[in-house]
Amino acid sequence: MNASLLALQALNGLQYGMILFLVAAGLTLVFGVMDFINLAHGVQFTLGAYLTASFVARFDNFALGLAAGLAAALALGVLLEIAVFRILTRRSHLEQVLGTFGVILVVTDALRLVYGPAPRSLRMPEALSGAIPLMDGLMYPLWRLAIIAAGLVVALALWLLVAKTRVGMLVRAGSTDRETVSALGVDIERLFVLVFVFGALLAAFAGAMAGPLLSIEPTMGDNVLILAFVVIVIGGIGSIRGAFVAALLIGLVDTLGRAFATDVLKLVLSNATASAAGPAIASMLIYVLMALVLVARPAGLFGGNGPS
Amino acid sequence: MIEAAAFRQDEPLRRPLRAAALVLVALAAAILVAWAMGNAWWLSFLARVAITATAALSLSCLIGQAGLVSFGHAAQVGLGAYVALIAGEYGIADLTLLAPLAFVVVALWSAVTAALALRTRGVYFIMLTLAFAQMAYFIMQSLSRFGGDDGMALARRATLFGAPVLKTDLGLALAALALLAAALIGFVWMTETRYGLVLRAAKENESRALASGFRVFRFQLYAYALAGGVAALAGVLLANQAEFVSPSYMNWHRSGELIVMVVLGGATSLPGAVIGAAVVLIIEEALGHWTEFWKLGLGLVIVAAVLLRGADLSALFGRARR
Amino acid sequence: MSEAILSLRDLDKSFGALRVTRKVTLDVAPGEVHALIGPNGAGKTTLISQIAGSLKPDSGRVIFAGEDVTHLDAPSRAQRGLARVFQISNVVDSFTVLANVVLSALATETTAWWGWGVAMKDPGLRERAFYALDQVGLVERAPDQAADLSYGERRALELAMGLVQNPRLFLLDEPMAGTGREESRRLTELLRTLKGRTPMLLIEHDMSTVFALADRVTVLVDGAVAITGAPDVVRADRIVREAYLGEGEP
Ligand SMILES: Nc1ncnc2c1ncn2[C@@H]1O[C@H](COP(=O)(O)OP(=O)(O)O)[C@@H](O)[C@H]1O
Ligand SMILES: [Mg+2]
Repeated sequence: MNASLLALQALNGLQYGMILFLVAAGLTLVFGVMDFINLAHGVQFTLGAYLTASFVARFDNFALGLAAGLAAALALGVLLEIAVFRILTRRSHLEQVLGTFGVILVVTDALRLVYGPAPRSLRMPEALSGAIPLMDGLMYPLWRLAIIAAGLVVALALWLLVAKTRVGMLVRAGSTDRETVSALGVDIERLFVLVFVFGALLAAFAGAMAGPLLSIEPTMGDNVLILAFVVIVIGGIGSIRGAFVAALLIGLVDTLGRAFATDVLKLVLSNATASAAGPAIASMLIYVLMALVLVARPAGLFGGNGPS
Repeated sequence: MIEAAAFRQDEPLRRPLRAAALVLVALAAAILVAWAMGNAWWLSFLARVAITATAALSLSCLIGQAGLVSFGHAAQVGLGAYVALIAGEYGIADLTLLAPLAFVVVALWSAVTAALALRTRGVYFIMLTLAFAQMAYFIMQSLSRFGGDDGMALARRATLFGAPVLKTDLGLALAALALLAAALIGFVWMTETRYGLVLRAAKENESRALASGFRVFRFQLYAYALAGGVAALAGVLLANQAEFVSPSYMNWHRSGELIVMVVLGGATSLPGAVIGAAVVLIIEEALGHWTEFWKLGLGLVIVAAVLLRGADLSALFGRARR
Repeated sequence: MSEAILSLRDLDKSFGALRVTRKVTLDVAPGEVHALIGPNGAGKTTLISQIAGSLKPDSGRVIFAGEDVTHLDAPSRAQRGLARVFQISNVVDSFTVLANVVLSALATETTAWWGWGVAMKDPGLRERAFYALDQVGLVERAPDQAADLSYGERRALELAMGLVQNPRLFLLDEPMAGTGREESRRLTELLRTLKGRTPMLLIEHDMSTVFALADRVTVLVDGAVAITGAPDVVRADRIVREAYLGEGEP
């Protein structure tokens, strides 16, 4: 393995991590603030991708399609919030798991019904479809760089929002001490809706950004959802900083593991054994990582002190 | 003297055992009717109900009795199926050997993963069980020798003392019913033993159980291992019925469906888990008959059930639960 | 004084910047009723938690019946004979009163929790449970759900759950708080009958109860021991009068 291949995979891992962060940020906030397990969060990712794809195809303009797609995904998210999630936030975790699992089944099949079973694709904007040379022998796709940039911008904005604004202060306080915040005369319900809408928007945005790199199908949110959960559990539930660190960690470990596990194993094992074990170990790495982190720190890396 | 006090609780087992017997008799009757009518489809469907119900039952023991919400129980079922597949490849296909093997292997896997997962609580626990299930999934997916992602056909159906008891649809259905009966009565009984008493106490009030001197961790660990072992036996039968095993048995959607069955039947009711399993499978089949988008319907049923009333079917029937 | 049943040595505990236990050293003698008093927030419950093992001290040692139990968890300490009555009643609500006591009795059985028999029908366990319930006057309530008990009855149930274990030390965190006058009198009477048989570390706000029951009194102020001594001595102490018994204290 040479340096440019390593750099390429590291960038891919970073880009993947950014997508995971965009999804996990909303999940961790919703969970931290509302104590609500939303398995259907991945649905927003899928909706973002589908709706953006269909609006981009209609308008033949990426920016316009993205805006319309996000707006539509958000509208559906708010609808779900009002119809289902709002009630579930007052129920036990078990019922939350169950109810949002039901929502996944409904939305997944509804998408299949509306868009058909065949995977769709999303065309990236012309201007960002090329690649640029980053170093000797390494051309890197502009679109992936755009995802990394977008992730960084969102992370920075979120950090400013949570650390520096009044709403952010309330969100931080709301997750640790609900009564106090209520006592301050703040409408907790409205705060929740705000957080939820924001999280849904980020997940839909992640879906739209990842759309051009994936085949768009009804179950595309499943994988991302599970990984996002791994991210927030490793990072510590409720912690934006934890989500960011853990998302990048997971993105890098997963991507590099898949790219290099077999080669690394070949250093110590026979070729045949390494080829057999490599992919298995690569796909398990993040779960092993999660288990290790939780055994060492049962509340995650940044857990136990609310959003930070 | 004081012993003479009148007691409602003197026969704590009577009600749940009666419910269990009712459920089992109903299933047995259905199997016999299907057999008498020579309806192979129904027979195999009922066998699937019994097998799935056994898996749901073992999860119900975890959720309803021990308070451990596992979101990865399908992996335990799938691992049991894989034990059947792999052992079969090495010529082990007699249940006298296969069943204990599957039970022990999966109980051990469950115990090891639970030892880690039980260090956490709440959502962290739920997500860790999911993570371990995903690990099992990917391990099996990578075993190209045993079919990898595509899965693999079972060498042959299992025997019992050399007799091909699982060969026919009826034999399989009866074996599934026998397993279900043993598991159901065993679990119901267990809740009233000393062990079960402590398990239930720890579920409701862990600090009390600890302060009284019970090492809650161990009790929960054993429950987790036991439930895993029973799920594995269901997996062995599942593999025999399908004559095929693939990683899709361990898909997390299946774990979700098992939770649905448990909760629909009333989370704290063991016979309820059997009813929940039957209801979900019937909904799936009925809707699947009618539209390929049956998951949409199932999802709507689940959401409605959760929203309308704590998702407990038994409450709809107005039956009092312990 | 013969060897103490419980000895605390330089126990220290902080929650973040808040130091709730400061170098607490204290002995409970065998057979002694030792009262622990102090204003709200003095750190009494926190101290009991450290003795029972549900909280780990930052430093210092807990010695129970001659054994250093500082690093043992709560179940291990319970099995060595520590029984705790929580400040906020802590019973299994969905169980019957009898089941709660049977549960507690189980914890000290040598056969632990094996056995295929139905636990609630075990004659040995039932007999022990009824005996304990009789002591606290709850026999009539045995078949009822714990959730249906009055506040005072719940306290009595928790006491029975401790009694059935024949503890070597009883940790009682405000057992009388919130009970009615009649129940409170009954509980005091019960504790008086236990006196001499089971040593107790008793947190109690009602001073008449404290001075009626206690052999010695320790006053905790801001997490530190202000004074330990016989009730009369403590009552007369100027510091105590100011810090705790002082009039005008809310
Ligand atoms: N888990 C905890 N985290 C932070 N502070 C605590 C915790 N438990 C108790 N405290 C604080 O420790 C102090 C002592 O509490 P406590 O032991 O309950 O007092 P007491 O029982 O004497 O009234 C109080 O100021 C309380 O707020
Ligand atoms: Mg207190």
